[in-house]
Amino acid sequence: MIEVHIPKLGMSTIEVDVVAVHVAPGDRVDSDTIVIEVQSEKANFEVEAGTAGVVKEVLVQEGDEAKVGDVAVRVEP
Amino acid sequence: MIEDLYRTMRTIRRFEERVVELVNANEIAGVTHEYVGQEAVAAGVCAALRPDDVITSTHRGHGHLIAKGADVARMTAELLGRVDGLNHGRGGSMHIADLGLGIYGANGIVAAGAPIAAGAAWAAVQDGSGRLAVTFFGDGGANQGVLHETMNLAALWSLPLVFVCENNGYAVTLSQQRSTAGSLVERAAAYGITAESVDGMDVEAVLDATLRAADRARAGRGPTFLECRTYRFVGHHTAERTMKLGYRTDEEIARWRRRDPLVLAAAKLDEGRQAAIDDEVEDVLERAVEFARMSPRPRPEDVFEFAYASGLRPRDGVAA
Amino acid sequence: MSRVRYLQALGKALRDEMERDPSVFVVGEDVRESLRGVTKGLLDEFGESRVLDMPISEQMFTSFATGAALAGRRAVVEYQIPSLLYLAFEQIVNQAQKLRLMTGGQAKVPVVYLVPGSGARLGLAGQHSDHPYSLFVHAGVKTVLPAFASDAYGLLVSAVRDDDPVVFFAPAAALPTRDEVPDEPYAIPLGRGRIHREGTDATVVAIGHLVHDALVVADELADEGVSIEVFDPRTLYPFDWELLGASLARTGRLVVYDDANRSCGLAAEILATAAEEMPLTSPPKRVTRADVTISFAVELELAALPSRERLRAAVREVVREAAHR
Repeated sequence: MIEVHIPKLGMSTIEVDVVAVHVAPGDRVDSDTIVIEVQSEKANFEVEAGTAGVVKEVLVQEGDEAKVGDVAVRVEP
Repeated sequence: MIEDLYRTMRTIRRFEERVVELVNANEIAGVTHEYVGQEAVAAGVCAALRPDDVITSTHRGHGHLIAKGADVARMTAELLGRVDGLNHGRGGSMHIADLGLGIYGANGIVAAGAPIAAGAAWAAVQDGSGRLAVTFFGDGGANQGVLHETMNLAALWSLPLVFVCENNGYAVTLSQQRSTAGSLVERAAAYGITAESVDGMDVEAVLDATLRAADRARAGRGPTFLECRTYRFVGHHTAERTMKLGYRTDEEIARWRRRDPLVLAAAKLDEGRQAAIDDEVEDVLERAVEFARMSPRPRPEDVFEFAYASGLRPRDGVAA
Repeated sequence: MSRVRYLQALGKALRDEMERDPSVFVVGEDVRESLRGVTKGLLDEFGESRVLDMPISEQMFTSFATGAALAGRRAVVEYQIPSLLYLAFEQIVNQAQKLRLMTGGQAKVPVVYLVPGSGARLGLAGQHSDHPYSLFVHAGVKTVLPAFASDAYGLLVSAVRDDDPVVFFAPAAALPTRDEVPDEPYAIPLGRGRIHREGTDATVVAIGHLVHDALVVADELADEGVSIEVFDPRTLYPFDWELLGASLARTGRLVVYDDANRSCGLAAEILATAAEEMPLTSPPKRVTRADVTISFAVELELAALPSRERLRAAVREVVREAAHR
């Protein structure tokens, strides 16, 4: 199982907002498929799946506040 | 022109000699750093400048101020710490300034004026005014980090900035040979700055070099570095004569005195003009000292005046 | 009115002032790309002559701002980390700050020294975690440290308009916080504190982002029947002693909560002034960082920083002390 984490968006970012979720459990993804979009005080960032496979779990919703390092999505390669 | 240059140098020389008297009589508190022997540099450089050009000076700044046109009576009052001084007695010798004449002031930290002059030079470019900035520093200041940072930026941005290094051979007691690797001029050239070494005892040579630097600056062709080889006939500061230091030989001082910039310039004056100018200068300085002595001393309760442009009053050392 | 993050509020303040006053310009490292986020969009809107990218030469560009200010401009100098202020300390404290008095009022140095993202932020380690504002307060430099986005906007506007040098710390922990910020430009005067929550048992002076913490602790303590007043100075120099005095006249008990070193810190200054001039019914306390370099390991970093737990304990102690008198 591959875990897609909330990325570090800068030296001092600790929390981000999840501004969009593009996948649901059961979706097929490629490694460059954008799974979620996050926003820190500084910038927006599109998070890629990083691996080809099937989405097993989506642990965040649009509008959530998430911590850098949290698991956002689980993908079965 | 040579008359004006001689008059400026004579004013500086006699001003400094009177200052020494006033320091030794304790009418001036602390010590000052006299410019005796270096007059041709200030006079030659400033004669090439416009009234609205900016200069940043050093701890040895009286000559720069006089050459840029500062009022000697108000200068003397400032050195005596009086209310009618240029800085109303708040700055003294080391911070004396006249912003209306573009004199951003003497500075107690060597080479600290260089980046300040760079900011003024940049602002001049934005204004399209054709103004330039000159920053003075000695061979002692030539190894300061900020000076190198400023040379880098001046070259990078083609700033209208003239670096004038008054190389008098010594920082305080440390000679240039023992403090400075490489050549001052080659260092500037390494940054891509047009650099020249000038006979700093020859006021017309200094003026000539500065005019060329000023033209370059105003035409947008960037900075210039002028090493002016000069010498101070007296100590680093007024009290040095009592310190019995041995870093220079009497022979060396005598050798440089044979090229006294005032003597070299006076030789080019018309018959009888030197004596007339000398008398006029003496008169001006006499009146300057009188003016200063008559100016009131600041009141202790005014200690917080001028601290903040917004008028904020700092707290006293004892809670009310 | 919009709900805006603190960092965006800073950017808006800068933008609004640059539009209002053509003499305002920004200088720093990577300010065109806006690595630190405050200056985003300014290059596109105002052009290269108003947003200057400098080589890594903090001492030079700090005094460059002074020279431009003397020549009639208004500078905002951005520093990427607070420790770089140590490099530029001479240029700020010994040149810019002193010039007006030394020249007998001839010089005016309107420069803002902006540090977006000051203080500790988990894993930045020794040289990137400092909060050296008390050094500037000691030198008499106007110093601002807002906790809320709406204050950050109004105080940055005032700082830019101020004719004196102003050091502006924007704490890293406060940057993502959101607050209602008016859409039209406005200014908040320097030197005015703000009481966020009224209380009767103790005054907690919280510095910077710790205001948010203190408000959480205030809620928790209210459940225990302890009512604390949360005082946010907003400006560290000049400090709003009058407002603090009024608060202490109500509560009589003081705790200062400060994310900076203990020795000779701002908390020490507040305690000393309160002890000298204000009515206290119990000995005051301060909760600060330990006087130690911040380690990299998270456990060690947290052990050196002030915490809510320590604040709660300090409040309980001053309240208990007073009860015994």
